[in-house]
Amino acid sequence: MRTFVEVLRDNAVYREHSHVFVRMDGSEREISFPELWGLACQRAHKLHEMGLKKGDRVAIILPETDSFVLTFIGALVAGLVPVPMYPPLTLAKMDAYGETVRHILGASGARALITVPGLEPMLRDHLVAAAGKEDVTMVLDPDLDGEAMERPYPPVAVTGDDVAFLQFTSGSTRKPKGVMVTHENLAHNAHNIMFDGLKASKDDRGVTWLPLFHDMGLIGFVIAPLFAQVQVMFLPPMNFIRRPYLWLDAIHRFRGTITFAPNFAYALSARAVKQDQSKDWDLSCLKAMGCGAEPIEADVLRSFVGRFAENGLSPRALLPCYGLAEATLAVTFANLENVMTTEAVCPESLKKGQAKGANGHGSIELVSCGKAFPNHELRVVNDTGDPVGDGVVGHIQFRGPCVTAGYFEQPEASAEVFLPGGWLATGDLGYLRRGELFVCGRAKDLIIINGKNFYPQDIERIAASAYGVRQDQVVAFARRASHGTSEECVVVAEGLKGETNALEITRTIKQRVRSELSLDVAEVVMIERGSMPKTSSGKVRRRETKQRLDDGTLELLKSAPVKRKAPAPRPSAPAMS
Amino acid sequence: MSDKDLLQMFKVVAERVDKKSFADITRESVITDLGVDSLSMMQIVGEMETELDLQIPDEDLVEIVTVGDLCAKIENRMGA
Repeated sequence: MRTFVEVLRDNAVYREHSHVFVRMDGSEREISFPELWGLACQRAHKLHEMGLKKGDRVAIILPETDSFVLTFIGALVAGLVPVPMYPPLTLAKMDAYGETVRHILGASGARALITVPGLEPMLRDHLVAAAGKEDVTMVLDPDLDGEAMERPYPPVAVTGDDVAFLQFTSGSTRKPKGVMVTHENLAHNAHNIMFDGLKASKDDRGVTWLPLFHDMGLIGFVIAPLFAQVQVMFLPPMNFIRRPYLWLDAIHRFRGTITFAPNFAYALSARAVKQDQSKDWDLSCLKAMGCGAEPIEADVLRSFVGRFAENGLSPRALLPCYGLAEATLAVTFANLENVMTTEAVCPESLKKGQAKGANGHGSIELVSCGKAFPNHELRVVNDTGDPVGDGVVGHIQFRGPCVTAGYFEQPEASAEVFLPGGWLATGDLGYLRRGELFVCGRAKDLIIINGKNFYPQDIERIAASAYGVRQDQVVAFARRASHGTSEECVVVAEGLKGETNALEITRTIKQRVRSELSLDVAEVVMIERGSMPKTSSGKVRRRETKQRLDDGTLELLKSAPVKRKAPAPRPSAPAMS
Repeated sequence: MSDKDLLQMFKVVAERVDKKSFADITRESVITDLGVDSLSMMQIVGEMETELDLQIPDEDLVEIVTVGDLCAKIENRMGA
């Protein structure tokens, strides 16, 4: 299989093909495939001149799509290992951002950080504040600019076994984990996505606003399309968030055939696009609207298709899919030619680990994410690791050439997920029906609220800083809200000896978590000292604590004002200042 | 449109975007303490811009700390 670098080189013969990059100010830059190769070579050359060598990690924080893509592929051509990082967001907390930057730079051992002049002072302050990080070389992206090279610049042989880049997605803020994605992983997954899943040809066109520092945008649109000579229009994510009509407008203008987005983007577009913005669109060109990266709600996708049916959008374009960074990106795609397949399942049966059909009210509608790609295996196992039959809920595992090489310099964390026999423990729960995957929950402790990921460790650390809470005796988890299918966050904490002021502690914990993570804790449960469920080695047990809260068997702190069995409180309104 | 109307509009749009109550906020409320992350915040800004048919320049957004600051930037644009 050709590596991405070879694909980039071979694509230089497609003179009529080009990517279009929309910049944050709305202007557009077109870069032809020959230029793409020439500019990547030129950047690779510059990076080598700066003393960077094969295998060196280089962090990239670039907000504009064109400079990000050119620098990223330039680093790949140079044999470097890019570490894509997200740029700071407007109206966000800069301290929390700086902390994330420092931890990822530390965990990746980056030698250089490539960014724009506007961000340089802020980033430099954070580097200086972090002891031992001053030796990271700051590279300004404009200094890498230059003319496309006429002749290829191939001094580095990149092979399939080489790590292509580190994808930081999982792990708490303090302990980020970088997935090592090899060139072979990329080549296999790109083939799966473009040919097995999308049946793409060079006449297809992609449109994306997805963040490029994240696997769905990066592999889905920067890497995979070039394996099929597919041209792409890139939009800045924030332009879409602020003006949602820009996504579908770009598909209409560019005659896009392929696009992908998480569930929330379909809800946002259906709600926020005005009739006078959409009235002239022709969306009949779309053959694949992928949906993944967060739980898929059938109702949301149906409303979306209904809203834009008058624009020629076909219900067959919907393409639910499943994947995760540890598996490169994509694991399953629904069948391209079919309409979305769903099952109405009885929620009570799901709790008992069976997906049984439900009649009428009280059912949960689950969406089929399709079958595993060729050369890959998908299975569902029980708690002891034995495969289970159709319709039985268990742990989703995956095996094949797209399973990545593990977490960078984290053998212990890797061993928990990358299992003997080549199986990848996805951390998700689901079941198979005739080979099709239905995802219905998580075994891992990750908390997802409104599509945003939170790690319990981060919430617990903040909660433990509240006066009156016992150190390390805090757990955070998600539970299904009493109404609807959404989830809410619950914190259970032990009070210090003699502590009875649960109300005050509760208020402090909620305030701190909201302030640091922008997350509303639905309920804080204070329990008696020494009553937290723990392992023999003294680690807290999140799942057992959650179960015992459900069962009503936790020892609540005396005088605790928390009323059990009351309807789950609405997330409280922000305090008046 | 008065100050009060803009604050009211912010509350309505924020409730629509983040699906929770914002009844208690004032112009002095600090945006990063609202329990709204920046993604939702940008949606709120975008929906207000669309409804009022105006655009706040990116460089103005950087200076915003409180809900009142945001209202003031919008008022500036409306006056322009």
